[in-house]
Amino acid sequence: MTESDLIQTGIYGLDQIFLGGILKGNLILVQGVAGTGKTLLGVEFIYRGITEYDEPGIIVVFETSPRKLIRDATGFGWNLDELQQQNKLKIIFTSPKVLDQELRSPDSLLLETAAKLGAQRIFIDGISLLRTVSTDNAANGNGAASYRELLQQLTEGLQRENLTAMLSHEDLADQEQSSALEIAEFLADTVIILKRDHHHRCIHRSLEIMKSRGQDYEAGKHTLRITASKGLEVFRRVQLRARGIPIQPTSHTRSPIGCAPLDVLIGGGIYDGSTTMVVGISGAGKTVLGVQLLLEGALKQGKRGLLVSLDEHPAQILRNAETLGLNLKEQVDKGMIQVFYDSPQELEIDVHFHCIIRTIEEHKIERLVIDGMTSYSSALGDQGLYRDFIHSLVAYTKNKLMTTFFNYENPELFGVSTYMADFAISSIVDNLILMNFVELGTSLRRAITVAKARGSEHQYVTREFTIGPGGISLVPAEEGKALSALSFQSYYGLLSRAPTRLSSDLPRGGEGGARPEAT
Amino acid sequence: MAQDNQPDLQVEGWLKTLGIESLCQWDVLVFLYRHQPSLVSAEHIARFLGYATAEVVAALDSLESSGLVERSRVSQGVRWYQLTAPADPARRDALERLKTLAASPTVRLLLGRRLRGSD
Repeated sequence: MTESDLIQTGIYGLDQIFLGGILKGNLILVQGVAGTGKTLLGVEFIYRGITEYDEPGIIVVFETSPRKLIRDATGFGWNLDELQQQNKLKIIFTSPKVLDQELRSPDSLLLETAAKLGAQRIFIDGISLLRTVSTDNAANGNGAASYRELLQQLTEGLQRENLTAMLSHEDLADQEQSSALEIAEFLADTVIILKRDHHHRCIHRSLEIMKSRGQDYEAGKHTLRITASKGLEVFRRVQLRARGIPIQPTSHTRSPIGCAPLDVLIGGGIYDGSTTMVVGISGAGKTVLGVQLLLEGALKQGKRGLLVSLDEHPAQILRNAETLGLNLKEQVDKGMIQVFYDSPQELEIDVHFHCIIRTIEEHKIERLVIDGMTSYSSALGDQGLYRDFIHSLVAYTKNKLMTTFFNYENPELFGVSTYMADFAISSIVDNLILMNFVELGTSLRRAITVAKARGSEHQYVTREFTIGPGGISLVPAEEGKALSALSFQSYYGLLSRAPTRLSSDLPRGGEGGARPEAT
Repeated sequence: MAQDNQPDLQVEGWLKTLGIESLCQWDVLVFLYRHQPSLVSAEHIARFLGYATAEVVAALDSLESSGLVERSRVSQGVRWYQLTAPADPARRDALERLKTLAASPTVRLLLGRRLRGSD
């Protein structure tokens, strides 16, 4: 199939779902209950055809007044009046009966007009009203054409005129309407279903391609948005596998994180294209580490970065970084680092995913920090969707050989007795960094452990770290002695809820075989 | 936006300029303005507006002869109906002003009063 075999709708995201467009000559049926956006989809199909592909079009309405259609279209920035004046568009008010007659008539005014206009697209709004014609015909003994025959005649008439037709059909609950819809679905080559579903107390719109003869397409329910001043926007569902991606690339190059002792701890930096999960309680320093990763990339390696947050607005992130002497703003101003905030309220994951991908592609991002995984799980309220999002993001970033940090907020203040048991996604990440608070005496101190680093000889030790000017610094292993408290090497069980002090006679932590002072 | 506070005399003047004398003529004019171009029959318009077909046919004849409406040839009992802008600037201006009152009851009330007055 070549591009010239396809007709582009021009509707944002829809042609991608159709893998380039709809096969020319296909009769397109759009179905859905009232308020799902059927008329809008049809009007935009015609509008984009004229303005983006120079394909004049006709809109046929039975119930809506053309004037209202024109008025409503202005809300999306579409000047239909102007297109009519330019003889590129004709909005026709008629009845189903007249339409039926006109498509069969040899001296049809409608088809004469279509020919004069050079129309290539037609949208007929409310095709289910043709049922009334079949009922009238039957009542009058006037040929008694069935609804199926009428639709066949309509299809024939449209194809004869070489018009790509989109028909809207209202989806009603009653039996008669349902069977009418089934007939239309059978006769149409392409069927698009629009839905409005309640999700808790909000509405999610979706678009699904039920069938499209002669071509492949992205199946399933994709997110649909109606946006003022724009029109319809379709967002590919996040779970879908990417098409046409060969074997996943793998890099042998290691890059610094932005904290030299941590690079040593993890086995000499992290592999490009690796994914790292940073786990810790709120306030442990996950975001700071993420900012350091991005700054290291931007300042020393020329790698552009993206910080995604559902928790903090960009201004707050910049301010917090500044208090630590991390000049994130400068890199943001230079365009080396992007900060993308999305509200967790009514989060539409397909749209959110799309925005992240678009930002990555537009700005050629190589380092990504997703700050606040817990906010995703609470915003989505759906474990399956959450897992799909993470899997898709990991698959995408790995294929781009991007370095990605996911910050996961562990609910436990001290220690890590369970780790992401609720979502079971830890297996998909390459590296695992644990950041905890440790209570020693009367002070809270910070501990960091590299629990997993695929393909690396990382150190299985827990180190103390501090957050101060410049961000995260690891306290040198022996320096702890100079502090008022004992060094971490004086304890075992630092990751548990109750670290225990070692006997001073016994070897220090990390050397094995240590036993507690008292049992 | 409808100009509901238009003085009656002014509206009267515009109607007179265009030669609109009955409610049916006005309703047909507004129908065609909202639904133009319509591919319908006079009977269809009559059903929509709740008038007798003969009354609508007469109104369409009158509007056509005043140069306000254009009708195409007949095909299967239907025609294109479309409003046209009169060539005369005063008449064109009157039509444009009256179009802004299409969604307001002003003109209907005025014509209704006039009809009651002539009873």
